[in-house]
Amino acid sequence: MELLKVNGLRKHYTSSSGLFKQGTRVQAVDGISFNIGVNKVFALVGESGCGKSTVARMLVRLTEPDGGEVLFKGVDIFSLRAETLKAYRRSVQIIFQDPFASLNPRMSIFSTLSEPLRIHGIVPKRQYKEKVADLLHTVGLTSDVMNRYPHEFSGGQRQRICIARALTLSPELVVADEPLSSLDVSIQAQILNLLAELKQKIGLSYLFISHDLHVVQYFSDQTGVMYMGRIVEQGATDELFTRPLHPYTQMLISSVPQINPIYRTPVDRVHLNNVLEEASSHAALPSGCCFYPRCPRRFEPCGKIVPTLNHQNGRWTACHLYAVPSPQT
Amino acid sequence: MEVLKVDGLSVYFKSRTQTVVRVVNSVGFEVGASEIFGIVGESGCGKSITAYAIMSILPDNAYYEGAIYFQGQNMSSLSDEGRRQLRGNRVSMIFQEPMTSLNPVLTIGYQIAEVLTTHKAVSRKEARDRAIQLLADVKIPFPEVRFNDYPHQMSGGMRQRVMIAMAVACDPALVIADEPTTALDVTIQAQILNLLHGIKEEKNMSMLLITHDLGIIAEHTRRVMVMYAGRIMELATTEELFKTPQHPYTRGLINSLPRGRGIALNPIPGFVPRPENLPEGCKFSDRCSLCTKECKEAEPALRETTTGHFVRCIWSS
Repeated sequence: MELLKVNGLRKHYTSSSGLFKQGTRVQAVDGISFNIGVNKVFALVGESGCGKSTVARMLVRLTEPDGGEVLFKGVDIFSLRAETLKAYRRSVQIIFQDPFASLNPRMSIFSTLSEPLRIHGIVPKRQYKEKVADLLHTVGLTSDVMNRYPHEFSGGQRQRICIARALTLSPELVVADEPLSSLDVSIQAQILNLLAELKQKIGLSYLFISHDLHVVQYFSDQTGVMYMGRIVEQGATDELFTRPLHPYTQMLISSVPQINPIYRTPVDRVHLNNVLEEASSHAALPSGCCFYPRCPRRFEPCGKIVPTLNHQNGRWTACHLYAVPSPQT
Repeated sequence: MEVLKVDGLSVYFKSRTQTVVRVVNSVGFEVGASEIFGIVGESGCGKSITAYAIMSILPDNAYYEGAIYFQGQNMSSLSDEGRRQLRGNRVSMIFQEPMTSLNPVLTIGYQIAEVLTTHKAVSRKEARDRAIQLLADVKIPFPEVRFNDYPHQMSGGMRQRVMIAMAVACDPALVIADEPTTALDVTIQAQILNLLHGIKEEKNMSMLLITHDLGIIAEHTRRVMVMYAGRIMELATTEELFKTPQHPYTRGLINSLPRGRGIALNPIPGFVPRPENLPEGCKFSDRCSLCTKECKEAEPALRETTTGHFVRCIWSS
């Protein structure tokens, strides 16, 4: 069953570059769609600026979209107001990238973790202590830390506290926006194990946003690859990693440094020298396929026609190489 | 002969209360001619500070003990002026964040040409021509046009190319690259590393590559040292380190990396200790699964277990 359905979600920002200049329109998220199943992990991967964090913010309603809909259990979340919105916030929580910026330095761990309980009136006040202790145990911390302040903790411990805060309201879906990228290697694995354990034990679903392909391959069930605000390829994670179709996905996967020589792809390292258009930005989005300027396999229609997402054997690909011939031809 | 030899290097930081903390502890290694030598470790392990000591750019409240020989010459025997003449000329450095290491109010062309006019007897015209050639060498398109760009007009990858151009402008014998691609996207990272590798071959330089990414170490270095809490935990050829990692910390790092679905992750428990708060005995003992009473009593020495493979652990054989 689908827990969350995203349909044609859009968001643009207008950047004003000067007092008298016309602002330029930046399409941060350009009509993306995906579903997240119950107790499943959907991952969005892509490089900085591809719009993946904007999607995360829209799903928790920190940012309002310009178009499209998000259905949570069949209800459009952008139509929610007051009480229904409050209920939605209980069901969907977010973990941010930087645990140094996302905890209030003036609030003790106890007040940070009990605040949601108070606002949502989940348990009576006398049970706060017990509930907070429970949460801390769930994320692998001892209950005696609750009177301490964020600065007394390391990055990994802070991220555990952020996860505990997200769990306070027993959500069904957790949006994790680069939850590992500010942590050291040895700590990343601890946090990843914790997220996997929570998925198994309390049946959480995740929207997992990351630029680390190893982590995504390890953790997610379905993966969407984003480039300049669009999903260019989407499918079951295993499939997608063993047989990437879109040239951008292929480029991403072959760019990851591998420890084991047998996993190193004898790239087609064409792209390594193809630096010409690296700097192409949202503002100067090419007509046609957004990846066209960097694509090693571009051909005639790529610069003119925007490829649509085509579905074949459980895989969605937006690339002219895999276009289904139209009925007339 | 080796290009760089570091012998018994310790770096100390004085805090405001005049307490002294040792953040690098008796580190010794050599970088051979046209070799890429890697230093890998987590944040706070002392890998960047080691590089700063080699470049003599430690902050004012820090000092070092031990000896650093660059092409056989002891760096501490040089005057400040002598060291300044080496820096950017015979030995240069590429930093992690190109935006903070380039001057925002000067064109990138000016900044590259400045390296040349400072260290070489060249006219401004010659420096300009040479700078444009360098921009072309680091594969920046339209070098004559980009010469006049300011750093903010370039993308992160392009800025890092400019940093590389500056670093190799005087054909140095050694380039120190401190997390050169950490701030970049993965496809750009591959391009930059490929470029560095190519330039290193072309100019026959040596390189000290500092990173936290084991994948980069595996793909780009010939020998590598693993640092933890300011110490060398393991030093070996890259091939051997990944084939037969001996220190529990090295193995822990490798096992912390996801290798595919269904293969369980075995993270290292606990967290990286602060330099002023290290455990007694072996500095990794509080996180190590093999820890015994002996480990807590005395810190093990760095021992050569097979030729060229050094390990700081009593269990290694």
